[in-house]
Amino acid sequence: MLMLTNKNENNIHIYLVFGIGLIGKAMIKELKSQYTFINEHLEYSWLDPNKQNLNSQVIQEKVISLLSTNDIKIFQSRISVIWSAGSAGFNADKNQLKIEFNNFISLITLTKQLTNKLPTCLFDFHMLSSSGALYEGQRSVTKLSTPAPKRPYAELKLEQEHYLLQANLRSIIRIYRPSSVYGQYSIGSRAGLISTMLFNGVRNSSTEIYGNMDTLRDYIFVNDIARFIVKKCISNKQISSPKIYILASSRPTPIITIKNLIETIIRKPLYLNYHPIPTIFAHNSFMPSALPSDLTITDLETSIRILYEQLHFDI
Amino acid sequence: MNTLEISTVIPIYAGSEYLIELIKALKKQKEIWQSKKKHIVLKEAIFVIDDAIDNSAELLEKFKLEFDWVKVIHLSRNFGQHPATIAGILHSSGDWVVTLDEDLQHQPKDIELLLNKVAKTNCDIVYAKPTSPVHKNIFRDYSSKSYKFIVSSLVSEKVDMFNSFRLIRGSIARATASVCGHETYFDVALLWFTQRIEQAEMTLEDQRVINNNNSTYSLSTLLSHARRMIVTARAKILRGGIMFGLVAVTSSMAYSLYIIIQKLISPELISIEGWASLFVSILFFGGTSILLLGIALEYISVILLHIQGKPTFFVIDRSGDSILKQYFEN
Repeated sequence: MLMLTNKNENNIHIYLVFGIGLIGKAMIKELKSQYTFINEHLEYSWLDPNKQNLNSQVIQEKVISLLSTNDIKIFQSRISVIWSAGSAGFNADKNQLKIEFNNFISLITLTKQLTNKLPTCLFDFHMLSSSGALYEGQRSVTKLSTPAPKRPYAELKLEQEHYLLQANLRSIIRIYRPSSVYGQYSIGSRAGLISTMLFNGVRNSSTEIYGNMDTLRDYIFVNDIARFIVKKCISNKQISSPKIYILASSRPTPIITIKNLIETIIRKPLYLNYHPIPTIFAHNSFMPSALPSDLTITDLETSIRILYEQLHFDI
Repeated sequence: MNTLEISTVIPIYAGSEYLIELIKALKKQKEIWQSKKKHIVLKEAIFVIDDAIDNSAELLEKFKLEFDWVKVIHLSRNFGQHPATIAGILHSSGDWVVTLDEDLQHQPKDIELLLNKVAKTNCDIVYAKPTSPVHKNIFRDYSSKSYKFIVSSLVSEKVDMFNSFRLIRGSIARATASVCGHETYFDVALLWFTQRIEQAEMTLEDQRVINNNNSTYSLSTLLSHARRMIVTARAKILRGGIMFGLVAVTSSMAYSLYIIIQKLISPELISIEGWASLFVSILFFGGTSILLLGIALEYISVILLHIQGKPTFFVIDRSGDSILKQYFEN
């Protein structure tokens, strides 16, 4: 995990980012573009509960020591805890999901302990959930649509949300439900369909597509999500009850459109293998009214071009 | 699948006079389907503001707040009706997409006529076919007919059935929209994905022209349409190019042979010195040039289609049509 500290005259804003994957990295980059931070990588074990407990103690001690310096007014300081972790994907098995849920419980416990030890400090908790999972197979999702998990991964996400909402944390709670996120490809971590197609296209490799050419998904650029979440992290606006945000583009896009766009941008054909798995055929789309009014979306072609330029730079 | 979702796409340029009635008509149709409870839903009405010249944008933003099924997309500048339609389709999610004009020439209640055609024929695209002149203006209607006739004669595709009131299978609509470039004629591109096209007869009246004698189409717009249609379609002239080249080279060679034989057998018939050799040379090189040009045109035709995104194949699922069959049977 990463601890980012932004120190002002007599207060501190500490960001504890748990999970430095696709979204976590983008958020950190966005945060750093706004402020100057002192950042520190702290160990946090995801697999060993005993080690995790020790790590948790270390993190708490670090945070408390930062807030205990003479010139810092604790009641004006703030701690933002961000859960953007989770190695379990859409097709995760029960063991992987159990580990992830336990890790989430541990983080809630850590946050509770911090709020107890720092009763005058302001806290906010930001959780990354998944609308692609929760609303799988639903079209024209609005604010009134009910999540209907169709797989264990989605059940996990809903369970995590419920656990957080019932945890009685003395904290502002914001839950983000992004749709299909895409961003810079990174070997070894989940990158999403678009990034994978782009990466494989540049390398003349084939991509496995689990669905049909016309399967609709709502793709949202990771930078748009990061920008939105960071805006909420930085915001001084107090909210009385937890807020849930659906982060999507409201532009349902079939795979064939992505394919054509990428082929136009990289100027060569993509090699795709289609795997017709009926459960993944279901379309998923969101109405503009379901989205927050202050969410800005980068259009698909621009964002794919950005990723292509980044890929070239990296290669 | 147990619900058929319909998306409507309406490009907006100067529609403020008709928008309130149009929204009412769409709402009414939505409620009719809701009351019948037969699994057809008007899920979304997508209005694409193509840099409208009146207050259509403001009106639609108000409707968007009132009805969550109204979606509004703003284009950065005026791109034209086809690009606006394409933009709307690319934001749709319905199993079927219906494109309509902004001026109530196309009544939402007539969407059922289009759907009925699908139920009967299992087709992928249904175009509205007016049963009487649309503009009620002899000159306008005759010009429109002549225009379609001229373009039809220049391209291989049946362009006279094209109409902006169309019902398109959602997956085909979106696939077509995704391959369309700024010079691609949308309806011609649709033909790359399916040949199951039908027409449904209905009364269409262009109220804008009938009442005001105004049209948003100028001569330059129509010419631009024709140009894009010819470029996108398999222009007969391109396909005919290589044939013409072959005919030219064959006939020039045959005639050259005739002149050579004549010169050898009866030289007195060609009295001018050098004429025979000069004429044979002209025929040979002329014919060869035309043949090579024809081959080049053939290559250009293939490259053009490839650049425009004509697909090698496209997979379709028509299983949802049973819902339409049941709806119209009951």
